[in-house]
Amino acid sequence: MLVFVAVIFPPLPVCIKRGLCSADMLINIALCLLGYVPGLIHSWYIILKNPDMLNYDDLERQQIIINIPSSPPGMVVSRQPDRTKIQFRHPEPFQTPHSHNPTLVEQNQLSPRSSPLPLNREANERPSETNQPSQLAQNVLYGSTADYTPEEAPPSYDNVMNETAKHPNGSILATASIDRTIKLWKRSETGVTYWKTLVGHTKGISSIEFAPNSKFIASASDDLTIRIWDVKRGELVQILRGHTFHVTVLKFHYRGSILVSGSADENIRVWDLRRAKCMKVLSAHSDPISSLDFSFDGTVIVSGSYDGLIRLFDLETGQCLKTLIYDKSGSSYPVSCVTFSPNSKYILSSSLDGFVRLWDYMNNKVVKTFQNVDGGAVAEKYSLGTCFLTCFASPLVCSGDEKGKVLMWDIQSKGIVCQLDTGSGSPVMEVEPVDNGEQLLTVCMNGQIRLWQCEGE
Amino acid sequence: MNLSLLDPFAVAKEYPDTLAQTLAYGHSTQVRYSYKGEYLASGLVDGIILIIDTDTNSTIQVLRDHTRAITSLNWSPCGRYLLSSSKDWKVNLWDLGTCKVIRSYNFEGPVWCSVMNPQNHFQFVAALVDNDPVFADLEHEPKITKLDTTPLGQPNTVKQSTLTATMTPDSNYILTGTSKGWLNVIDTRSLQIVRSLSVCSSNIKNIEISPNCSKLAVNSSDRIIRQYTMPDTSVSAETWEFELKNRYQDAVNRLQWNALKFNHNSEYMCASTLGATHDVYIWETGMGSLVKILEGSNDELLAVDWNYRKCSIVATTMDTGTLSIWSVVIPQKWSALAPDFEEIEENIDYEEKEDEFDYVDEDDMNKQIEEEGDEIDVIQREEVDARGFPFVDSFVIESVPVSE
Repeated sequence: MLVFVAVIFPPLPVCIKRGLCSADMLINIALCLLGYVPGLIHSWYIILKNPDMLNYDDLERQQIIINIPSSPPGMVVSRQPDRTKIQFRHPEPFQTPHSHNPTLVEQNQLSPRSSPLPLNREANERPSETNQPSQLAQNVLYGSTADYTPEEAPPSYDNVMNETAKHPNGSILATASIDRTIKLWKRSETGVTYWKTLVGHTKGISSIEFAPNSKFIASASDDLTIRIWDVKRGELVQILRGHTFHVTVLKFHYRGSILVSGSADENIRVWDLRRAKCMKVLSAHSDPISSLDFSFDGTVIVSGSYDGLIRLFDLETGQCLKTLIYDKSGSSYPVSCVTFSPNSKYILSSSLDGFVRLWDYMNNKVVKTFQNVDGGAVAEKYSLGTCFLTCFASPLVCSGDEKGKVLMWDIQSKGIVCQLDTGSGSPVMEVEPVDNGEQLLTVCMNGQIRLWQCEGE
Repeated sequence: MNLSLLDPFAVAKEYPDTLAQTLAYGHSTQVRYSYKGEYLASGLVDGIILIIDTDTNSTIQVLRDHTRAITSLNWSPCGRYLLSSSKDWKVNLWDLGTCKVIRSYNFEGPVWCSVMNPQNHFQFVAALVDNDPVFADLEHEPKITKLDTTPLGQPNTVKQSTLTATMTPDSNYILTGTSKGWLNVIDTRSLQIVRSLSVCSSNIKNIEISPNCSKLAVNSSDRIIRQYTMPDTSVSAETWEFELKNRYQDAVNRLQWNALKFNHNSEYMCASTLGATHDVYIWETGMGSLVKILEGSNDELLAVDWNYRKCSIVATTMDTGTLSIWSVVIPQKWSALAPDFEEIEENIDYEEKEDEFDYVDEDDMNKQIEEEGDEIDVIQREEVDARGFPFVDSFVIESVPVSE
């Protein structure tokens, strides 16, 4: 519309877009005095440069279209067009997927409705060397919507999986996705079966956590709320409101009375669950919080943020205790995941320059750096989970990469000792040891969940 | 873990200095921290016991069974059991896993105080109003043994009653205090008085043994706290020598001391006051000098307890029953917010270093951050925190989120 107005009178759209006394307006009038054509061109330029004001949802939607037009809805989208990436869930209501053709159908796949999944321990080849994909037996199940009916045989993949959480004793698994639901899976000797779905969030879910007493699940969503659910009854217990932008990450204190949450509003909040109140707001980061972790004694919180900093906070006072920054070339890449080592002396961090680093935070230095095969990047776009595997003789560091592989490094030698291929080709969002590392749970962004059985040393 | 990152001077402080918080959860008469200091039990005047999480300061459990004011509270070292005595003549043992009473005993009168055996949570000593003290074992059938009050070598005709009792940390001996100022030492196995000591001629109100079992303090109503060296409890009590080290009194205000508590290494002792001032006094126990008066409460103080790990002191007030908590205030270190920040005492003229703005070759930079090939141990934990307390796992009391 304004384009045609510009043809008739160039300064008018500029006036609408930029205001009567703005610099652009004066430039435009000056150009119009010089001649009609320069004024018209400038006016068009202003119109194109200033699209209509949008609310946040529209903005995201637009970015989704602009940035990755080919991806299925609900993909991860870059907020800043350069290297800083942040996860957004698609704001539109989730459509029950039917049309998307599954690219991966494995023999032992399972739809949520079908009953016990046999642990397919025979299906694995013995590992001959390192870098052999299947030292762990595989077990695949697909997260899908609950109203999924049996005749829609292959499960679909476009409900992007974000997070899993496991019951402290591993008997229940929970998965969360951008379809706004949390699904609970019962795990037994015979396999994993779908149990129930928790519905209530109005936007996609980024993070879920079981309470240490395993009776409650907390979930963080893009609808700005954190919800606490009763696992047994499947009911909503609490809604914690306070964040002003997408809540990205959650962590429980080991005593279960405190929950910390990080958000894209750049704040960390400490919640007293007993009173459903926010105790403290830790505002020290200048970009979205991507990851949080507690030290084993629950006194220190470590946070990773897209501003490239790792900060340690004192839970008791809320003070920042320390800041770590990897500043090799004058710029720091966004930190996508931070995890305390089991003894809380080290911090494992991954950042979007593609490296996973082990920090000795007392001495402010990186003691180990882990890289993908051939020195490639582990993750440059997505916040992928990392974990420590301690059931082996020498502990391993584990992380997924963006091409569907799970990498395990020996901490001392920094070499890759094992590599698993989920076969999904999509980023492995989460790796989580189950049963003290006897099994490993992997979640890919396309919705594929696998439970790997550890065999051998 | 947080302590090792904090200002070492603040962490090294032995006693709190600032009134940080007042909690008003009913009219509290008795408070006690759990051994690890993560929970605070507060007994109310109407018999309710509240379990307060010291991280959030919210009540996570409410224990209802008593009907009169709580007179004493004791945690088991594992943190799972709580012994409570009340003026409703009852002593209850609570299992905090279920928050139910698992053992209960009704005496024939109000209970002054009860003390749990640190080695066996089913056993306790109780001092009863107008009655002889008892040693109770409730593990199976309730087994109640009456203990003597009359000190050794004293005629039975002088009527006196036991007002307070305590147990040594190794549970070998029970110490009781009488209304005529006698301290009786009772062997836990024979349950007979093995030693008596005349401390003063007035009521003994509290007997406190330091956690490391090196010092003993006796508070009596003649307004003096007497501090003794604790004898070695592994040798027979007949040979014990009680050496009077210090006497604490306020000669000016003639303050009555209400309750007292040692810190973890018995180097300091605090006592709450009854009278004109509303303060907690802290003494250094080596020389007996007053080091700190904790002010800020606007009411007289009754029970007092010391949270060793968090270095805080809680006291209950008499009229309103609110809890006043003093703790160490640690200032924010601004240099923690960025690695290249440095805190300076005063303004200094900045002098540019010779190589400050030199171009550094990237290879050199790489070399600078080059990692060391040391062995990294990610499993083995530190054994003690920066204050010297061991990291131990203790019982976690369930905290249920309230429904909306």
